[in-house]
Amino acid sequence: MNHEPFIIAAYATFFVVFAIDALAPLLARRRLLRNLRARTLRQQKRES
Amino acid sequence: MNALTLWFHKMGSPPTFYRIATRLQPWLFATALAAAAVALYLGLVRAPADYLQGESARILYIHVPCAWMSLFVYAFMAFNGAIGIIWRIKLCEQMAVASAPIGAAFTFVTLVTGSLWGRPTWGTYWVWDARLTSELVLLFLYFGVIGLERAIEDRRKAARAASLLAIIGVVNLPIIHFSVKWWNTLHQGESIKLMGKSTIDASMLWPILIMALATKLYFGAALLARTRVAVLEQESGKEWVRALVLGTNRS
Repeated sequence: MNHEPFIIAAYATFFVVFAIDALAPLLARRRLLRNLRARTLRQQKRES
Repeated sequence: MNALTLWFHKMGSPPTFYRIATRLQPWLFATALAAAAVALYLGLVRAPADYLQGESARILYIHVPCAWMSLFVYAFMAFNGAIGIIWRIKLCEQMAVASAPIGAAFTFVTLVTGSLWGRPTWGTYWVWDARLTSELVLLFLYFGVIGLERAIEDRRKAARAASLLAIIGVVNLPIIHFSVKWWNTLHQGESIKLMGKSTIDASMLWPILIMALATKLYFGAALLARTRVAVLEQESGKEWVRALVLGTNRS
Protein backbone atom coordinates (compact mmCIF):
# COMPACT_ATOMS: atom_id res chain seq x y z
CA MET A 1 0.00 0.00 0.00
CA ASN A 2 1.24 3.50 -0.88
CA HIS A 3 1.43 5.45 2.39
CA GLU A 4 2.11 8.85 0.83
CA PRO A 5 -1.54 10.03 0.43
CA PHE A 6 -2.24 9.26 4.12
CA ILE A 7 0.82 11.23 5.27
CA ILE A 8 -0.02 14.18 2.99
CA ALA A 9 -3.67 14.19 4.13
CA ALA A 10 -2.63 14.06 7.81
CA TYR A 11 -0.16 16.95 7.52
CA ALA A 12 -2.58 18.97 5.37
CA THR A 13 -5.29 18.58 8.05
CA PHE A 14 -2.79 19.67 10.72
CA PHE A 15 -1.80 22.84 8.83
CA VAL A 16 -5.29 23.81 7.65
CA VAL A 17 -6.90 23.38 11.10
CA PHE A 18 -4.23 25.40 12.89
CA ALA A 19 -4.14 28.08 10.19
CA ILE A 20 -7.89 28.57 10.67
CA ASP A 21 -7.51 28.45 14.46
CA ALA A 22 -4.72 31.06 14.39
CA LEU A 23 -6.50 33.40 11.96
CA ALA A 24 -9.96 33.31 13.60
CA PRO A 25 -9.10 35.48 16.66
CA LEU A 26 -7.07 37.93 14.54
CA LEU A 27 -10.04 38.49 12.22
CA ALA A 28 -12.46 38.65 15.17
CA ARG A 29 -10.26 41.30 16.85
CA ARG A 30 -10.08 43.37 13.67
CA ARG A 31 -13.89 43.21 13.25
CA LEU A 32 -14.47 44.07 16.91
CA LEU A 33 -12.10 47.05 16.83
CA ARG A 34 -13.82 48.35 13.67
CA ASN A 35 -17.26 48.09 15.34
CA LEU A 36 -16.03 49.68 18.56
CA ARG A 37 -14.37 52.52 16.64
CA ALA A 38 -17.61 53.22 14.74
CA ARG A 39 -19.60 53.14 17.99
CA THR A 40 -17.19 55.45 19.81
CA LEU A 41 -17.18 57.95 16.92
CA ARG A 42 -21.02 57.93 16.87
CA GLN A 43 -21.07 58.59 20.62
CA GLN A 44 -18.57 61.44 20.28
CA LYS A 45 -20.65 63.01 17.50
CA ARG A 46 -23.82 62.82 19.63
CA GLU A 47 -22.05 64.35 22.64
CA SER A 48 -20.61 67.22 20.61
CA MET B 1 0.00 41.62 50.23
CA ASN B 2 2.95 39.47 49.12
CA ALA B 3 4.69 39.81 45.76
CA LEU B 4 2.94 36.80 44.17
CA THR B 5 -0.56 37.97 45.13
CA LEU B 6 0.30 41.44 43.89
CA TRP B 7 1.49 39.96 40.58
CA PHE B 8 -1.76 37.97 40.21
CA HIS B 9 -3.83 41.09 40.89
CA LYS B 10 -1.79 43.07 38.38
CA MET B 11 -2.09 40.36 35.70
CA GLY B 12 -5.81 40.04 36.44
CA SER B 13 -6.27 43.68 35.47
CA PRO B 14 -7.60 43.70 31.85
CA PRO B 15 -5.48 46.64 30.52
CA THR B 16 -2.27 45.11 31.96
CA PHE B 17 -3.13 41.68 30.59
CA TYR B 18 -3.99 43.14 27.19
CA ARG B 19 -0.72 45.08 27.02
CA ILE B 20 1.45 42.09 28.04
CA ALA B 21 -0.47 39.68 25.78
CA THR B 22 -0.03 42.04 22.81
CA ARG B 23 3.75 42.00 23.32
CA LEU B 24 4.06 38.24 24.00
CA GLN B 25 1.77 36.87 21.31
CA PRO B 26 3.95 37.43 18.17
CA TRP B 27 7.01 35.98 19.93
CA LEU B 28 5.10 32.87 20.94
CA PHE B 29 3.75 32.44 17.39
CA ALA B 30 7.21 32.91 15.89
CA THR B 31 8.97 30.47 18.26
CA ALA B 32 6.16 27.93 17.75
CA LEU B 33 6.62 28.15 13.97
CA ALA B 34 10.42 27.82 14.28
CA ALA B 35 10.15 24.81 16.61
CA ALA B 36 7.56 23.17 14.33
CA ALA B 37 9.85 23.70 11.31
CA VAL B 38 12.76 22.02 13.13
CA ALA B 39 10.54 19.12 14.26
CA LEU B 40 9.17 18.63 10.74
CA TYR B 41 12.67 18.63 9.26
CA LEU B 42 13.87 16.06 11.81
CA GLY B 43 10.74 13.93 11.51
CA LEU B 44 10.17 14.01 7.76
CA VAL B 45 13.75 14.23 6.48
CA ARG B 46 16.22 12.95 9.08
CA ALA B 47 14.31 10.24 10.99
CA PRO B 48 14.16 6.77 9.43
CA ALA B 49 10.92 5.03 8.44
CA ASP B 50 9.54 2.59 11.01
CA TYR B 51 10.77 -0.98 10.50
CA LEU B 52 7.22 -2.38 10.78
CA GLN B 53 4.84 0.41 9.72
CA GLY B 54 7.07 2.00 7.09
CA GLU B 55 6.58 5.63 6.05
CA SER B 56 3.08 5.92 7.56
CA ALA B 57 4.69 6.14 11.02
CA ARG B 58 5.74 9.71 10.12
CA ILE B 59 2.18 10.75 11.07
CA LEU B 60 3.43 10.12 14.63
CA TYR B 61 5.21 13.49 14.69
CA ILE B 62 1.94 15.41 14.63
CA HIS B 63 -0.47 12.82 16.04
CA VAL B 64 1.25 12.27 19.40
CA PRO B 65 1.94 15.96 20.28
CA CYS B 66 -1.66 16.86 19.32
CA ALA B 67 -3.00 14.00 21.46
CA TRP B 68 -0.94 15.21 24.45
CA MET B 69 -2.21 18.76 23.88
CA SER B 70 -5.84 17.63 23.66
CA LEU B 71 -5.53 16.40 27.26
CA PHE B 72 -3.32 19.25 28.48
CA VAL B 73 -5.65 21.97 27.12
CA TYR B 74 -8.66 20.29 28.72
CA ALA B 75 -6.89 20.16 32.11
CA PHE B 76 -5.86 23.81 31.68
CA MET B 77 -9.43 24.79 30.79
CA ALA B 78 -10.91 22.97 33.79
CA PHE B 79 -8.25 24.43 36.13
CA ASN B 80 -8.95 27.99 34.96
CA GLY B 81 -12.68 27.32 35.11
CA ALA B 82 -12.31 26.17 38.73
CA ILE B 83 -10.31 29.30 39.65
CA GLY B 84 -12.93 31.43 37.87
CA ILE B 85 -15.77 29.78 39.81
CA ILE B 86 -14.04 29.77 43.22
CA TRP B 87 -12.31 33.18 43.21
CA ARG B 88 -14.48 34.90 40.59
CA ILE B 89 -11.46 36.00 38.55
CA LYS B 90 -12.89 37.24 35.24
CA LEU B 91 -9.68 36.65 33.32
CA CYS B 92 -9.56 32.96 34.34
CA GLU B 93 -13.16 32.51 33.16
CA GLN B 94 -12.23 34.11 29.84
CA MET B 95 -9.12 31.94 29.50
CA ALA B 96 -11.14 28.79 30.25
CA VAL B 97 -13.66 29.69 27.54
CA ALA B 98 -10.90 30.74 25.08
CA SER B 99 -9.12 27.37 25.56
CA ALA B 100 -12.10 25.33 24.33
CA PRO B 101 -11.83 25.95 20.54
CA ILE B 102 -8.05 25.44 20.64
CA GLY B 103 -8.47 22.17 22.56
CA ALA B 104 -11.18 21.09 20.11
CA ALA B 105 -8.76 21.79 17.22
CA PHE B 106 -6.06 19.62 18.84
CA THR B 107 -8.56 16.82 19.51
CA PHE B 108 -9.97 16.98 15.97
CA VAL B 109 -6.46 16.79 14.47
CA THR B 110 -5.62 13.88 16.80
CA LEU B 111 -8.69 11.94 15.63
CA VAL B 112 -8.22 12.68 11.93
CA THR B 113 -4.47 11.96 11.86
CA GLY B 114 -5.02 8.81 13.95
CA SER B 115 -7.68 7.68 11.54
CA LEU B 116 -5.38 8.34 8.55
CA TRP B 117 -2.61 6.41 10.30
CA GLY B 118 -5.00 3.58 11.18
CA ARG B 119 -5.99 2.81 7.60
CA PRO B 120 -2.54 1.63 6.36
CA THR B 121 -1.53 0.02 9.69
CA TRP B 122 -4.75 -1.50 11.07
CA GLY B 123 -6.64 -1.76 7.78
CA THR B 124 -9.43 0.52 8.99
CA TYR B 125 -10.04 4.22 9.56
CA TRP B 126 -12.03 3.72 12.74
CA VAL B 127 -12.79 1.15 15.45
CA TRP B 128 -14.94 1.70 18.52
CA ASP B 129 -12.14 0.82 20.92
CA ALA B 130 -11.60 2.47 24.31
CA ARG B 131 -8.85 4.95 23.35
CA LEU B 132 -10.52 6.19 20.17
CA THR B 133 -13.99 6.38 21.70
CA SER B 134 -12.83 8.23 24.83
CA GLU B 135 -10.91 10.73 22.64
CA LEU B 136 -14.09 11.26 20.59
CA VAL B 137 -15.99 11.88 23.86
CA LEU B 138 -13.32 14.52 24.65
CA LEU B 139 -14.10 16.27 21.35
CA PHE B 140 -17.81 16.25 22.22
CA LEU B 141 -17.00 17.68 25.66
CA TYR B 142 -15.12 20.55 23.99
CA PHE B 143 -18.11 21.11 21.67
CA GLY B 144 -20.38 21.03 24.74
CA VAL B 145 -18.31 23.72 26.50
CA ILE B 146 -18.27 25.92 23.36
CA GLY B 147 -22.01 25.40 22.74
CA LEU B 148 -23.03 26.06 26.34
CA GLU B 149 -20.95 29.23 26.50
CA ARG B 150 -22.58 30.56 23.32
CA ALA B 151 -26.11 29.56 24.34
CA ILE B 152 -26.28 31.88 27.38
CA GLU B 153 -26.54 35.63 26.76
CA ASP B 154 -25.01 36.84 30.04
CA ARG B 155 -21.26 36.44 29.40
CA ARG B 156 -20.27 35.82 33.04
CA LYS B 157 -23.05 33.27 33.61
CA ALA B 158 -22.14 31.60 30.31
CA ALA B 159 -18.47 31.36 31.29
CA ARG B 160 -19.34 29.90 34.69
CA ALA B 161 -21.73 27.30 33.22
CA ALA B 162 -19.11 26.31 30.62
CA SER B 163 -16.45 26.10 33.34
CA LEU B 164 -18.66 23.81 35.41
CA LEU B 165 -19.14 21.47 32.44
CA ALA B 166 -15.37 21.54 31.84
CA ILE B 167 -14.73 20.54 35.47
CA ILE B 168 -17.21 17.65 35.27
CA GLY B 169 -15.57 16.43 32.06
CA VAL B 170 -12.19 16.06 33.77
CA VAL B 171 -13.29 12.53 34.68
CA ASN B 172 -12.66 11.60 31.02
CA LEU B 173 -8.93 12.47 31.16
CA PRO B 174 -7.74 9.45 33.20
CA ILE B 175 -10.07 7.24 31.15
CA ILE B 176 -8.30 8.37 27.95
CA HIS B 177 -4.83 8.02 29.47
CA PHE B 178 -5.33 4.58 31.03
CA SER B 179 -7.70 3.18 28.37
CA VAL B 180 -4.88 1.22 26.71
CA LYS B 181 -4.09 -0.43 30.07
CA TRP B 182 -7.61 -0.97 31.39
CA TRP B 183 -9.06 -2.44 28.20
CA ASN B 184 -7.80 -4.63 25.41
CA THR B 185 -7.56 -2.06 22.62
CA LEU B 186 -6.27 -1.91 19.06
CA HIS B 187 -4.41 1.29 19.93
CA GLN B 188 -0.83 0.66 21.00
CA GLY B 189 0.40 1.35 24.53
CA GLU B 190 2.70 4.24 25.41
CA SER B 191 6.24 4.20 23.97
CA ILE B 192 7.32 7.46 25.61
CA LYS B 193 7.51 7.47 29.39
CA LEU B 194 8.18 10.35 31.76
CA MET B 195 9.38 7.89 34.41
CA GLY B 196 11.46 5.04 33.09
CA LYS B 197 13.00 4.21 29.76
CA SER B 198 11.13 5.09 26.56
CA THR B 199 10.89 2.32 23.97
CA ILE B 200 11.41 4.67 21.03
CA ASP B 201 14.69 5.52 19.33
CA ALA B 202 16.17 8.98 19.94
CA SER B 203 15.98 9.79 16.20
CA MET B 204 12.18 9.51 16.43
CA LEU B 205 11.82 10.81 19.98
CA TRP B 206 13.41 14.24 19.43
CA PRO B 207 11.08 15.35 16.61
CA ILE B 208 8.11 14.41 18.82
CA LEU B 209 9.48 16.33 21.81
CA ILE B 210 10.29 19.42 19.71
CA MET B 211 6.83 19.30 18.11
CA ALA B 212 5.35 18.97 21.61
CA LEU B 213 7.19 22.18 22.55
CA ALA B 214 5.91 23.86 19.36
CA THR B 215 2.30 22.90 20.14
CA LYS B 216 2.67 24.25 23.71
CA LEU B 217 4.01 27.57 22.38
CA TYR B 218 1.24 27.67 19.76
CA PHE B 219 -1.35 27.08 22.48
CA GLY B 220 0.09 30.00 24.47
CA ALA B 221 -0.07 32.30 21.44
CA ALA B 222 -3.57 31.20 20.36
CA LEU B 223 -4.86 31.48 23.94
CA LEU B 224 -3.55 35.04 24.28
CA ALA B 225 -5.05 35.96 20.89
CA ARG B 226 -8.50 34.62 21.84
CA THR B 227 -8.42 36.03 25.38
CA ARG B 228 -7.48 39.49 24.03
CA VAL B 229 -10.67 39.48 21.93
CA ALA B 230 -12.75 38.40 24.94
CA VAL B 231 -11.17 41.11 27.13
CA LEU B 232 -11.85 43.79 24.49
CA GLU B 233 -15.49 42.64 24.17
CA GLN B 234 -16.08 42.64 27.92
CA GLU B 235 -14.31 45.96 28.53
CA SER B 236 -15.76 47.72 25.47
CA GLY B 237 -17.28 50.56 27.52
CA LYS B 238 -14.10 51.36 29.44
CA GLU B 239 -11.89 54.38 28.85
CA TRP B 240 -8.75 52.37 27.99
CA VAL B 241 -10.62 50.54 25.20
CA ARG B 242 -11.99 53.86 23.85
CA ALA B 243 -8.44 55.19 23.79
CA LEU B 244 -7.26 52.02 22.05
CA VAL B 245 -9.91 52.07 19.31
CA LEU B 246 -9.40 55.78 18.63
CA GLY B 247 -5.70 55.17 18.15
CA THR B 248 -4.40 57.18 21.10
CA ASN B 249 -3.09 53.90 22.55
CA ARG B 250 -1.48 51.83 19.81
CA SER B 251 -1.38 48.47 21.72
